[in-house]
Amino acid sequence: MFRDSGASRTGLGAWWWQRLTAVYIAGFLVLGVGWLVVAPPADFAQWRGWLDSLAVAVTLALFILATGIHAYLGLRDIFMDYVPAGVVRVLAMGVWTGLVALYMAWGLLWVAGL
Amino acid sequence: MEVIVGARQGSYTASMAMKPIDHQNRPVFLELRRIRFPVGAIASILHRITGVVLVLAIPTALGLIAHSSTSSAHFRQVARWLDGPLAAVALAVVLGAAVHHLLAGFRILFMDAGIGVRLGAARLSAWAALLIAAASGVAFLVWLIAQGGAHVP
Repeated sequence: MFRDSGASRTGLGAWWWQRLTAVYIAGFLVLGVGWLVVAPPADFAQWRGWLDSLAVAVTLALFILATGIHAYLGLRDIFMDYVPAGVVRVLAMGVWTGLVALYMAWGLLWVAGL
Repeated sequence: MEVIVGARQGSYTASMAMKPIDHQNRPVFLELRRIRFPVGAIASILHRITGVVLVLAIPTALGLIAHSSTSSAHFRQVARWLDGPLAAVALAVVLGAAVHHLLAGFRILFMDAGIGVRLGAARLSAWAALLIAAASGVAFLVWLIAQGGAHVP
């Protein structure tokens, strides 16, 4: 589509990741929240039963990865737009990257241990 | 200048590019009661604000799910936390934020595909995202209150 897009290609990967994760998150939230609202678990046993299924674990793990990537890119855009380039932005991005990494690690460990 | 294949009439051209700004003498207008943002700008900034809200809400929600999955007592504890009027308002705000973020996101995905790009359609979809999000937040709150809290057993 583009001829010799050169430097303008920088960020195209992020653009695609933002949209790919968006579609997954949208599907997960609409189905997942819809399910919880329409048919909330009657008791702990039923709740555990859902969480114990492999399908729910895989879906949850992908959701945690997708939200981590999506949020990482989203806040990165916000920092790039509102925080002037310099030490403050580098620090903010460092803290934010660490938090996202913690979130993903915690989420995957939690799902693995379910 | 490099011409993008498929550029249509009405596309962004070099003549529309921003002119250099005289930073010393640039006009400043900050009379808040008279500043009017176009609805697309409001939808756009709300997409960011709701994104930040969800950055806080989604890990919190997953943390609650994780806690509730550890034992029957913890499950009931989470149910109690979600059962007050304050929690109902928080849940409604998060739901409204999620709905807006979702719809504003779909709006952008469609625009990427070239659908709804023109001004009239873009303004309409921005209004729709705002109003549907507000309506679903309010409706959810009313529904929660009518049930007497989040009503998780």
